[in-house]
Amino acid sequence: MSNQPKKVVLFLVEGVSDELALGPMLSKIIQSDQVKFKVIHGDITSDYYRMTPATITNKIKDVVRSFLGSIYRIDDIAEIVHIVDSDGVYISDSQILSDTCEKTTYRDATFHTQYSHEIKKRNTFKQTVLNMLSQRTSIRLGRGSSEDIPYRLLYMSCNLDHVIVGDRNLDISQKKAKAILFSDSFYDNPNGFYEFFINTDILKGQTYTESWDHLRKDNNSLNRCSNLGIYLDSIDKNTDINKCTFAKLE
Amino acid sequence: MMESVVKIRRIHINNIKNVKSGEILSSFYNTNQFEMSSEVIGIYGQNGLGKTALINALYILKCVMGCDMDKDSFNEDIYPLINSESKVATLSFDFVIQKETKQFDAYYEFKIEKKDKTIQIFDEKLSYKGVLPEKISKVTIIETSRDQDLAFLPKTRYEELISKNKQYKTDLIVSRKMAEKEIESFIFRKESLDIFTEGFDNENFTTVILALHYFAKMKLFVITNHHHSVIHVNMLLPLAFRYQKDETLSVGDFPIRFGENKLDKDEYALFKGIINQMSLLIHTIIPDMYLDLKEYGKVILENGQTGISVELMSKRNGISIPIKYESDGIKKIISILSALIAMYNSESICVAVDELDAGIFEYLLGEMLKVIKDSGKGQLIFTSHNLRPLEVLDKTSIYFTTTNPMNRYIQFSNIKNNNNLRDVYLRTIDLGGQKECVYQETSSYDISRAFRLAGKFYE
Repeated sequence: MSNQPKKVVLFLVEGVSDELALGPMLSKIIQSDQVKFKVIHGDITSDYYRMTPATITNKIKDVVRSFLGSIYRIDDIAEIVHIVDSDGVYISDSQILSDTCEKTTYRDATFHTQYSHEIKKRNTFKQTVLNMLSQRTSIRLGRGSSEDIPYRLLYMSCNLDHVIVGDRNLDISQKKAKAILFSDSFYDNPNGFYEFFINTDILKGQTYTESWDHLRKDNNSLNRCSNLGIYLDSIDKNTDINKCTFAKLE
Repeated sequence: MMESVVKIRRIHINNIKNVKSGEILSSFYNTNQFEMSSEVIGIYGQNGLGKTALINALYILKCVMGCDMDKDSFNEDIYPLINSESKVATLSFDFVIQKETKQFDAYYEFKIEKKDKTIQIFDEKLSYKGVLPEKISKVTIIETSRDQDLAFLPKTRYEELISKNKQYKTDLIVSRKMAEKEIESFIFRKESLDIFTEGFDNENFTTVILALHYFAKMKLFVITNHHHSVIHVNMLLPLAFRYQKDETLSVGDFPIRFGENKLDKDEYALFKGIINQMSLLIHTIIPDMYLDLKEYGKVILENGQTGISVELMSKRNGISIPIKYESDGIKKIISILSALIAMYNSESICVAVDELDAGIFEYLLGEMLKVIKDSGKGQLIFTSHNLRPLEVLDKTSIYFTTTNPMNRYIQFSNIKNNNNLRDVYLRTIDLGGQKECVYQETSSYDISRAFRLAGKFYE
């Protein structure tokens, strides 16, 4: 073993189901670094009550620092990959409809909610934040430029469940179970996970910029797509990921 | 005669359980000035990487050098400790011995072999080096070899004895044969010791041999899980103790039964002394708790004499309950406490404890170790899973087991004084960065999946 410590690829995600769905396969595919998840328990990019677009990077820094704790150092982090749900963020206000429905519901071209006023405000805020963060390539945690950590913002549209099971209004009680099923379905075939995300059904656009351009257009932020594939394509993958050793359990 | 002080400077083991090779050095290994203050060595690591093997090695040392174990128990205990792929294990220890104004380094190495379902001890080698007041280069005192016709080597040493008394020739051959038969160390068995002390002109030789023998027999305590399993079946409370009163010194395992103990007069006095001594300490560690004895009156012992029946009790807020109803953690604290008391107060006591943390509240564990480190006198070698001691002890006190069977124990390098060793350890488990890997990687995702699959049987 070399004396050089491994690096951490840190995934910032909104909920536990994100980690359950993506963590197992990402940790098989990314072999040279340690895959770690920091579950934020919520979407900081839509927190317009407490945040301004200017303070959002500080919030991300706080999250990363809380991950570091006293155990990891800044230079242990090779890369920060932030994954957010698009939640129909780029649709026009006219598509956000007031409804008496108990639960906010996403449809193909509309968003039904009791709180249309708040959702409109949220969308404005979240658009600004996503536009800004999707342009960002690094986050500076320390003082000098040597402590800049590469940063990338990826999306799940219109949310994780929509991407992995095709249901954008999945009941909260089912989220974890479906995420586990999704991940388990690739257990013997991590390459299938990679193919799932680079398939044009899910990945729209050839480049990172194109993938964001796609999301901003029309109703696409309500539609099923994700640019995780762009990231997966860009990294050093385990050379033959289907041959990596698994503990056979069956 | 002033007692000699013996401390362990180095432990090297080959083929003990899954340790193909591993070495631990004491913090004073590289200096001739060995500290009179206490030394604590903690061994940390993942399950199955050789923590207990080191404690086992000290147990073997105690048996071999102390020479007071019957051969059946020795066989039964030691046979499984030799690496399953190997026949022979080698154990090598360095000591520092201080007696009056003299100081020596001593080296004892021996091999044990699995042969026809029993153990054989062979190729023993005892050497020493003079450190103070005069420097003496390293010389072999006694060496045994299977290929040699002589009872021992070096030849000059052997001939020195024979020239003094012809009878020694036969006695030494008999002792050699008996050592094999009884599975004992040739050097340290009583009959040999008698010849050496009587026959050697060089006083240093006898000092070294006797000091080591006495150390193993009376001052080295090894508390392994063998003990704890005894606690857990709620049968006996093994009190490893060393108790000195007037001129007599008692040492060893004092098997206190949960429930009634029938003791003769001397045993009773000893037991009472130990309990009083321990009660003082237990009170500071577990506030409000004292140890107490309940006397049930006179009984007739197996040998026909009159004895007394007593039970060990814990007393809290004036209420006494039998120890058998206390938690395993408290039972364990009590059982190792006496040995720790001795170690704390006497520089020549060495206590080795496997799983020191089992059942002990972590804050308390940290406090106890801190006290022992700061103001104790003896040596404590322990294994633990609890990481709290890493925040209390110096980095020089801590060894970590590695995944490399050829180099099982390492100390971390590149640790700054202000680094928290516990944090460094956790980071190293995850990211590596030391000269050996300290953790066989586990995936929480695989663990989670395995739980689910295992659960399928319940569906």
